Amino acid sequence: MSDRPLGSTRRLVAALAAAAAVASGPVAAQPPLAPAVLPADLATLPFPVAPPSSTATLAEHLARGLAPAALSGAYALDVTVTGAPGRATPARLAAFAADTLEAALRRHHPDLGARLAPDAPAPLRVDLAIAVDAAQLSATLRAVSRPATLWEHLRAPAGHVVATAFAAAPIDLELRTLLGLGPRIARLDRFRLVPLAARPGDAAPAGPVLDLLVDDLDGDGVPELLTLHPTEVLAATWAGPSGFGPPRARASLLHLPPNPARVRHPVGRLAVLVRRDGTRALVAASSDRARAVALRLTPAGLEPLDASPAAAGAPLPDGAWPLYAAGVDTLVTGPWPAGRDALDGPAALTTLGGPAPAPLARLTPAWDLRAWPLHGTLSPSWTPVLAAAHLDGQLRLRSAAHPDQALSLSGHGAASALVDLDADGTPELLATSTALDGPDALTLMTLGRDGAAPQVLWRGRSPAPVTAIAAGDVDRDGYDELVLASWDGAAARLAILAPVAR
Amino acid sequence: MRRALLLAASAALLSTTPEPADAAGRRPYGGALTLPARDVSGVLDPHRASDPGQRLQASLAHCRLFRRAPGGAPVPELARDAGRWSGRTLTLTVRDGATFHSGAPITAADVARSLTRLGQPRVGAPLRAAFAAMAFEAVDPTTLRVTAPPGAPRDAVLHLLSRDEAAVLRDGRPGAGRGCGPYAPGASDARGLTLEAFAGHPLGRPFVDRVQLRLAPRPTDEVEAFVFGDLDLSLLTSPRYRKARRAAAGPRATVFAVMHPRHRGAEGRDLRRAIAKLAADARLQRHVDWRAEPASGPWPAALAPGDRAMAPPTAVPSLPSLTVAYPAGDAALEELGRALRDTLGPLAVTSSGVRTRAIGVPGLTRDGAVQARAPEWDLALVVHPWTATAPWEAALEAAEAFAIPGLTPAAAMTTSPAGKARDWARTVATDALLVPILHLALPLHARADLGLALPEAPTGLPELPDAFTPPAGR
Repeated sequence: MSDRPLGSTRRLVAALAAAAAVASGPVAAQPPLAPAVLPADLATLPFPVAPPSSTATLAEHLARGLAPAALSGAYALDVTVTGAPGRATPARLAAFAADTLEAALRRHHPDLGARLAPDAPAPLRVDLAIAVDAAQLSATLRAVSRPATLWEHLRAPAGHVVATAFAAAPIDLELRTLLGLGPRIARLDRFRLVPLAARPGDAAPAGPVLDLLVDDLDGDGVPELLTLHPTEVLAATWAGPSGFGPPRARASLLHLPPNPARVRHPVGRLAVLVRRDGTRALVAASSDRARAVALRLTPAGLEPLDASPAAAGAPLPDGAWPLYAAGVDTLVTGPWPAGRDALDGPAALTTLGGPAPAPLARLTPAWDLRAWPLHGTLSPSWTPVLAAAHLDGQLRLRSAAHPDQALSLSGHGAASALVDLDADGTPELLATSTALDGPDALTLMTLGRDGAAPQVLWRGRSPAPVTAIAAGDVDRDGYDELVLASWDGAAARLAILAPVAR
Repeated sequence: MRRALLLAASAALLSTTPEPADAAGRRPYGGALTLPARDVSGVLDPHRASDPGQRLQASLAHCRLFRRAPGGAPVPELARDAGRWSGRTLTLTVRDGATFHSGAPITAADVARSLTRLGQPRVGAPLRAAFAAMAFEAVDPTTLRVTAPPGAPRDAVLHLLSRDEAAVLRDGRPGAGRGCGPYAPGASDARGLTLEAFAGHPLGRPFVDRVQLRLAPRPTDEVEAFVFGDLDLSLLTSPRYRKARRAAAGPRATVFAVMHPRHRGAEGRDLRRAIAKLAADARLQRHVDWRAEPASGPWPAALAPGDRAMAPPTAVPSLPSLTVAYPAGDAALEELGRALRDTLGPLAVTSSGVRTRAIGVPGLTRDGAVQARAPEWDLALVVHPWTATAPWEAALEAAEAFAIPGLTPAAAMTTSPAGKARDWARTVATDALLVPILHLALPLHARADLGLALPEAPTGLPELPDAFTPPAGR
């Protein structure tokens, strides 16, 4: 069990446990396994490339923060780490952070000279102070110009500061490994599905939540909950036990041309892209419109990535329905829904604002196809999983760890999510049910390890059909939660699913 | 590494079928449906649709600004949202990209012309007066301004705009390609008309690919076609086919005995009250095949705009004879008419004995009975299927259907269920030339092996654009 203090989600869950409508179900073993066939499309579709680590992100933000002051010449770099737990190995983190920062500084300051030892008499001194707290790393960078002449020595013997920068990043598996913290042990024996209260003063957007994402889109260290409605995208942040705050930004999709062949129950897709400059962009597609839009989150709100009239904020080619991000500025796309909502047609590798999409395999008809970002525990291994909800009722998974094998589950609906709730390296799967009306039966299972059959951890029920599920650390306690959106025909509601204690 | 072990064991088929599943998966597309049609007038001119079959056709082939959710609340269809209400003006935006079946874009001018046409007397729409009391104006190509009667609430306006007959037609006129419903008319022949799923519908393509309207001009044609499996659904009250299943309760209806105008006045009032009492005591629901209850007032309970009970007679009149008319060829009303004739014996007694009789009148309709085109009868049995889903709407509907004066659309929309509409409803129960006999829930028969899920609309008709074929095993 974790020795960390209770996060806000867990406090919320504990406080509302008595009122929660859904109780934990018994843990049940599954029947023996039989071989499954890997569909042709799943067998050949590319996995997403690993996103930048927290260390790399931190270094990038710091180097970019210093960028207005052009650094040049040889420099001495000194790194200090404070606040690390007793068992941690801060020296290892300091050395790695120094190397990563040097690489980032050279990208943004090409005139920078050789890196010297921390105590070397270099004309430029760069001090990196890293503070470790419960779930995140914060870093302060100071660039100090040392006195070069006698007069400067007399006037300012310690030199003068020429630039500063600050950045923060969550403690990811790479940082845990560098700090020598090892894996965490958490409990997944009791769960609560907690409905979140309606947001006061929030003008209700029209229609159901078509897709959900949890992502730190603006890189401010605070993850946003991004919700896609048929004609609108909203961004909100966690506001404590009351749930998410009112939307801090919203973007209408009404400027996009309408889809001349809408589908009866609209579908949508959100995907986050990492740009070449390290920033993140949100690609949003609704079956009510005919094109996707790429957005960025700034203090001013959600803005089209390319606001030029020609691009109209939709740099994806017409007919390219985003499925998942496969690399820098690159998406795997499918055919745009036209009259029918099943994915049925050729997939393609599409680059934002780039040349014509490169064709990939033809998709096996499916309700949904996603890539879930997952890491192992003992090292920063990147093992994403592709998940396809096929029309035959099978949910098929293919992991980057074993790309020639598939896991096939029957009896589950189109909405599902893979997440490592206890950060033990083994993902949990939350799946909806296949029936077509009424409350939604939810099943949370761990996908099995050491050759054991997967186990059902929890069964629950959402009072209304679940339309989208997202996974992410919404409350920044270091653990992921599941956010569920449901639609009862009149109103969209959010709920959060998390272990009672971790 | 545990992850390595995770999917090492995962070349597998895992069955984790959830608990008895009653949740929401995605609905598959495909399939076809065959419906009976006396004619296809509901497709050709939805503004005139009055009976359940025509209304069903109108909802298939035509779109309107709003539709009704299963609970009855209007939800946007062609309108982008619920609009902005100010004073007595509702400003609506037409959903962008919406097109007619011909591909022409739908503009606010089309909507305004269509709704204005509904109020024109020559069209004969069921709630003509209510639409005539409103004004519709296209502010720009996508903005429509609706001006309601003084005091009319927003909900009542939205309610009217969501009626099946409030269809939007290109230029406000019926014709080929001028509709915008979930199904577009396709091939037609002597057997009927095929409606094909229309992907350009504002709410998206319906799930079922095709709806075939099979012509069955006479009730016997429909019964025969249904019995032999040529129809998937039947709205007729007659089919006694044991393999049919009832898919939905169907629309509400009331059997009325329309009195001849010569029975006006105090004596006629006692006669109507006496007929109502005798009919209620006789438990005439035994003579119909579908769910029915004695009618104590003109409106079914959920639609009553006020007091609906008829008072007992102050004196039982005695008549030299009493003739009950029913539409010739309608077996159900014939049986009911004969039962009513037997029940009313005490009212018509002469020295030579009972002089009551029941006769079949060819072509007897509700309008014909109201206009007393056949003077040889004293009361005519007719069935009125209700299109209303709210009491104020039912009051207006009864006023128009039976030509009962004294209720303006503004009064009905504004004051129901209290005030003027309530007073008017009490007057109807007392003085109108109407005797309610039975309130019915008309059955909707579905073929027993019909593999379609049929969501029900608040009017009792199936919401066919949302019908779908559940996957096998669900």
